[in-house]
Amino acid sequence: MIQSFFNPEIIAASWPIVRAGLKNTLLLSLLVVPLGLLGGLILALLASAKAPMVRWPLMAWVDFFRAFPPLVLLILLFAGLPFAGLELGGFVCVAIAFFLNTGAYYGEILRAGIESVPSGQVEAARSTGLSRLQAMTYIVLPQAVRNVLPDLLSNTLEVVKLTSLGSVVAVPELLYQARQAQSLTYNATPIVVAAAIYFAVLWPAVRLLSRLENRALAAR
Amino acid sequence: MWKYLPDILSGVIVTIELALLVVATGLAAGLALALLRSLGIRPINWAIVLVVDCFRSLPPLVVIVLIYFGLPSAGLSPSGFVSTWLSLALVLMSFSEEIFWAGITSVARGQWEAARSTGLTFGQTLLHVVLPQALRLTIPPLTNRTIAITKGTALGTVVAVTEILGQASSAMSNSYNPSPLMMGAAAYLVLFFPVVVAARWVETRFAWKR
Repeated sequence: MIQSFFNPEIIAASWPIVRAGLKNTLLLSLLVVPLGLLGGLILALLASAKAPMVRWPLMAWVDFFRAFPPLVLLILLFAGLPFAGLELGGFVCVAIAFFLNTGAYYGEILRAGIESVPSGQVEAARSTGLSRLQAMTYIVLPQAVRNVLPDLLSNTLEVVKLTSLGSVVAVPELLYQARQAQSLTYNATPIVVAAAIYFAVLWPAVRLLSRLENRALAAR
Repeated sequence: MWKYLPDILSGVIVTIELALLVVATGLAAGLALALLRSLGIRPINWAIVLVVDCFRSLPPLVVIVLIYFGLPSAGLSPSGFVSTWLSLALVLMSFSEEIFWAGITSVARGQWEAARSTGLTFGQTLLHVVLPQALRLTIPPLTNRTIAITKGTALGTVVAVTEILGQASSAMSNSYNPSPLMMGAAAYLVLFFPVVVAARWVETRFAWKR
C-alpha cells in the first residue's frame, strides 16, 4: 500500500516534475481568475441596463454556459477550431474557454450583487453630481462586491479547481505533470502527491468559505 | 455525418444514466450525512467535516484520475464508468451535505424546542418541522451545484467512458471531421438547457425569498 501510494523514493524522484506543474497551475489561475472576473463584470454591467432587448439575450448567454460542460467547450476550441483553419495552443484555448464559461458564472454573481444595492444609493450619488460611471465604480460596485463576497470566493475556488481540465489539452499544469510522472514511474504516488497539493492549497479557502457562509446564515 | 448519429445517441444514454446515478446517490448521501451531523456526536461530526472538506478542495477530475489510475495498485480495478460515478457522487455528496446542513442550522432553535415540547420525538421534529423549512431554503444553491457537478459527467471521457463527449471525440478522429463534435455539443445543450431553465423555474416557484 505504502509502496504504491506513498512511496518516498518516487516522491523524491517525481518532485521536480510535480513542482513545475504546481507553478503552472498557480500561473494559470492568476491568468484565468482575472479573465473570468473581467468577463463577469462586462456581463453584469450590461445586465444593469434594464432594457429587455439587452436582458433576454444576456440571460440566454448565461444559461447557455450554465448548461454547457466546460470540458466540451475546451475540446470544441482545441480539437474543433483547427478544422476551421484556426490552430490555437492548449493554453490559449483554456484562457478563452475560461473567459466564456467562468465569465458567465461571475456575471450571474455580480449581477445579483449589483441588484442588492438599493436604488436610492445610485440616486443619491447621481444627485451629488457623480456621472453614471462614477456612481457605478465608487458607490455601487464596492457594496455589490461586499454583498456577494462568499459567492465570489466560492466561484474562484471552482475556477482554480477547474484549471485541472488543462491536463486534457496538454497544458503542463499540476494534474498533467502528475500523470506524466505516474506513467514514467508506473506508480500512483505522483497523483496522490498532486491531490495532497491541491488539498493543501485549497483547504484554507474551503474553511474560510464555510465560515463566511455560516456567518451570512446567522445574520439572517 | 449522420452515420455517427447512433454513436452519439448511445453516448446520450450513457450520459443520462451516469447523471441520474450521480444525482440520486450524491444527494441521498449528502442528506444522510447532514442528518447524521444533526445528531451532534462530536467525533462523527469531525469525520464528516474532514471528508466533506476533502472533496470540496479536490478538483473532480483529480478524484476521477485518482480512483481510476490509483485504485488498481490497491487491487481494485473500477471501470471508467464506476470511477466517474463514484467520484462525482462523492463530490456532490460533500457539497450537498454542506448545503443541507446550512439549511438545517438555519431553522431557529425555538422551532426545535417548541416541536419537542408538544411531544414530537427527535425524528418527528426533524421530518415534520425542520426539514420542510430547511429544504426550501436550500433549493437555489442546491440546484446550481447539482447542475454544475452533473455536467462533470463529460470528465468521464478522460477515463474512457463512452458518454457523449467520448463518442463524439472518437467519431471525430475516425471521420477526420468536426461535425460529430458539433452534434455532441448540441446533444449536451438539448440535455442540459431544459434542466437549467427548469432550475430557474423551481427557484422562483418553490424557494423561499429571503
